[in-house]
Amino acid sequence: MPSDISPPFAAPTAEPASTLRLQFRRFRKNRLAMASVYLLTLIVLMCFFGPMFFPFTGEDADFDNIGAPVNLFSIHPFGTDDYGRDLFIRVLEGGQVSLTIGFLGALVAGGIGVLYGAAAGYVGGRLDGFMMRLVEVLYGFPYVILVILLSLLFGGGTVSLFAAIVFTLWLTPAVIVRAQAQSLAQREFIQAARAGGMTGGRIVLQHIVPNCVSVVIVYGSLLVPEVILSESFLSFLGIGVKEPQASWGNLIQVGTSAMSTDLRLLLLPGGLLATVLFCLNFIADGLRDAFDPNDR
Amino acid sequence: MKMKGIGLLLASAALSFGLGGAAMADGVLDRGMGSEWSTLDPHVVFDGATGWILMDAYEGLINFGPGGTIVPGAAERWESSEDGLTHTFHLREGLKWSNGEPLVAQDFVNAVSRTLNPDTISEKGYYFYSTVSITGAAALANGETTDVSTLGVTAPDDRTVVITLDNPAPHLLYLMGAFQMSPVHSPSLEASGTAAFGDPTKVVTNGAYAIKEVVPQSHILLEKNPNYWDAANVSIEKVKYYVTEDVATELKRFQAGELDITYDIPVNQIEALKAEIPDQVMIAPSTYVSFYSFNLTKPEFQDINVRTALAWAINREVLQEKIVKGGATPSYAFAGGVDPEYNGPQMPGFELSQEEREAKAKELMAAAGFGPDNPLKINVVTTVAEDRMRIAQGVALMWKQVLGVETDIRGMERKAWLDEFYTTNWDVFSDGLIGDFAGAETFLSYMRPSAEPGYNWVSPEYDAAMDVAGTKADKASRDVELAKAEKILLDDMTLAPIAVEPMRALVSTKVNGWIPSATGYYNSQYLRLE
Repeated sequence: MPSDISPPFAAPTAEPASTLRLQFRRFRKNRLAMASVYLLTLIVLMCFFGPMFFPFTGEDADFDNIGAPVNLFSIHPFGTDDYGRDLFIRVLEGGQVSLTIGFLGALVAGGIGVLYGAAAGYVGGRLDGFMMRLVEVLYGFPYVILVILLSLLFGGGTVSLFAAIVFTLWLTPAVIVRAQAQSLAQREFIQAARAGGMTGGRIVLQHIVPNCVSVVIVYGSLLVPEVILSESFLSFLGIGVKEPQASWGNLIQVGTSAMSTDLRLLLLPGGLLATVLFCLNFIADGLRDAFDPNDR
Repeated sequence: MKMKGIGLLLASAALSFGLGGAAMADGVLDRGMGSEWSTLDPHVVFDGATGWILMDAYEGLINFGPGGTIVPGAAERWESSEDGLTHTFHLREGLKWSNGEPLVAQDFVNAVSRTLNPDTISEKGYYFYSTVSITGAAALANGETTDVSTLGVTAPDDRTVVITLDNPAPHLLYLMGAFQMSPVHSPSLEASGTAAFGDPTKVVTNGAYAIKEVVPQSHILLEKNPNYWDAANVSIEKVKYYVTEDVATELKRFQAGELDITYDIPVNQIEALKAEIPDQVMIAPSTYVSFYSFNLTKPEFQDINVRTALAWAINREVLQEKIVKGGATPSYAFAGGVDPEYNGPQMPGFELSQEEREAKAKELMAAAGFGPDNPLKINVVTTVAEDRMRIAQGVALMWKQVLGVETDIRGMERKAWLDEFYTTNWDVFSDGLIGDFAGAETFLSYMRPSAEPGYNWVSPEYDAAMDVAGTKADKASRDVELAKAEKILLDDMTLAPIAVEPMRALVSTKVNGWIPSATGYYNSQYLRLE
């Protein structure tokens, strides 16, 4: 009786995968997250390289074409603003500022937070208590007032805005990493490292921080949209990036004042900001699912 | 009325929440006033919007009726001597302060001496020694004497004020209103000092209204003064002046019926509003000139080439017609443009086309040592009013495009902007002046170094030319001399003329009696509510 007998053992086709690779494989299966990655990359490339294809910058006015309407085949594809500056270029240049502050701010705030939290969690005891109380005190300050005070202290402008954002946003990663570090500090491999004579600083950098990395990546990816939103919000209120330098926040502010007459000035920067924020949040979502399947 | 400044809007920290409430049909006239009042001291106030409150609360020897015409005020009649040097004002019988005390001629004499007293720190003293030259006023102002009996303003009896001039002044009456000359209620000033003016429980006024409520960053409430001589003809019981920092918010409040008269109109809404509510959009000529002053204490601005280049690189037609779009008339002169009879000079380079001016401006800038490798970096200090910001941004873009100048625009609230003028922090000042009357002299007398030392401009030739103009009694020959003085001013390029501004406001159909006034006087006592 003929029968199909399948081989008893399927030959191992895939090589053993590391945790990280498994995680990225899971991430890649998330279509929404992957689409967001492509779209975000496109927007970032457009913001940084797009303006090079135009013979003028966002601070050059074309007084013959003030308030030009959308005309995709003219030199000003999305028209110009009330001063004859090309709207598309201004939005792209505003994107450069917003995205740079967003990623750089998240990186710096995350970096400070991770080191601070890891140190506090590892050392424990009184120092930990003191460091965490300090974080709580800083949490207690009203955010907007703190930003206004800091921008007065730094004299306004992009640098002070950046400082203010970092100053207020490093707190949450510090708390999250500190909790992680506290549990890690009791684990055997840390005790082994300590018994082996590693100094506290090296243990924090070589063992604690790398073991927190998945939490940090997930949280950090949520931090980026938060920073971008803060920047736009503060620039919208007029205490962030100042004219003539563009950022999405102050472009939207100009757009809202002309809302009833010319919606274009609001829709272009507003739409781009919303798209970027959606993308970043989908990516963060995808990362969280990939790194921590239990958490779904 | 000399008004330096007109400012509003700060999208940021300006927290003026709408405390409007229902304003409809409650007998209260609700008026927007832009930024907060700078001060309520009537002898110090120098900004136009606060001037409106002042005109309602106080009354000078004369008053400005509907359309800004001169009508008898505290004085019922007046006469002038043949030579035009002595003017006698006869006060009405039974004039009273708002607290019922009698108002006497000496109160007006005290007003002039208080304004001139250097301790008062008032910018308005120049009215009395530069715009008109009252005998002894200059000596009191510069501290040569403190003896007020040397002043040419006297009160021979309780109902007569006599003003003696060194030179004839055909425009004297325009300076006898409340903005320039509010009487002083000496008992309250002695009792509480200058704090009395801003405190509703202490302030005593003599105008159609009394100050009842002062809420910083919110509003000032005026109530009809029963002791005013013409109270029977004051129709509106209460007037409320609201701080309306942001012009877009002000428009919304007007549309919601919270305001009856606005301070300004958002410039990008003018066309739409004209189509929608044409009978409520009021745009009228005014005596408000705007110009950019250069800080002559800064080394780069001591070079006339730099000043000329900056003045020439501004394309005034494009600025007004395409960028600001607020209905202002581009101007190339300082004092011309409000009086058709005055035939004044234009800025040097006026005869060239804009292209030629821009080409020459580039050469001048290069001659001054600035170029692409060494760009000039300057700041512009302006109020945050929408139209002021548009001018500043437009000018900055033109400077960048034509000359490669990098401009930092520093917008501030009206009060801060007024104070900033007396610091040395600014390079270019977004300046403005509202003439007290539609003539060249109101502007030119302000530019005398003795009248406004803040410009740091020293020109004996200008002073001499103004002195010559002051001696002419008839307007035509006076204007000829004034034009010579203006030429000296314009040739020195200490300022870049920008425009002659219109008066813009939204006036509800409920308000009757709103007649355009070139000098910006719209006293509430002549308005009626339906």
